[in-house]
Amino acid sequence: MSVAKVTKDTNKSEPVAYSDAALRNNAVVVEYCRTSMAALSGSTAGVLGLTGLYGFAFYVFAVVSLWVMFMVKTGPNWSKYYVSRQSLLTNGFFGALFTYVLFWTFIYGMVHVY
Amino acid sequence: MPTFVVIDRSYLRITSQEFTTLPLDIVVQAVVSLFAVMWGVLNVAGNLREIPAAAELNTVKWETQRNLPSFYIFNHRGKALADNYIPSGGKCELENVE
Repeated sequence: MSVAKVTKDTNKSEPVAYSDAALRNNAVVVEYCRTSMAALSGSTAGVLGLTGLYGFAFYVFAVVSLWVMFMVKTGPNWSKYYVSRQSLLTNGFFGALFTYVLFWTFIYGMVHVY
Repeated sequence: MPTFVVIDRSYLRITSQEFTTLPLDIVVQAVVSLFAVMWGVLNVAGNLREIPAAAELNTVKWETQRNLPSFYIFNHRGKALADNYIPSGGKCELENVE
């Protein structure tokens, strides 16, 4: 059990110590879900035949709904599992976007073009 | 799912209609199944662990803390006080074996 990071909360004077291993484990889980979400929603966008900005809007919709699912899963005490909610929403946004576009164009071409 | 869309496209091509939008049931099916699979992946991905450093230390039991391997005793003379104790011959028996 190693203490990775001691942050000072602005509203609480007491510093909070986080477990390094638990943080890394949670990051791996979130990354796994995020990559799967990008691939799946990209495939769905391709099947639906979205083009242009509608596809990117669908990506934003998928990202937000994954975030909502994380919040539903952890319930009201989310701060026990994540350092911040905002970074959970925005982390790796563009990295997953490339995966999304890959699957989107591929499935679109398979279904609608050929 | 893609099969339905392909069937729909080829149906439109055969009947020489123009493709405008997909049928509503295919759209609903696609989006609902996306949500279902996303929720499934979320539960398959593994459990989240509590990040405060003290969270797992609080679950350590007294038995775990007290467990000191250096102080293990395997042969204690106090066992001679037990009712079911069968005394061995001891050192002299070992010497008489020859």
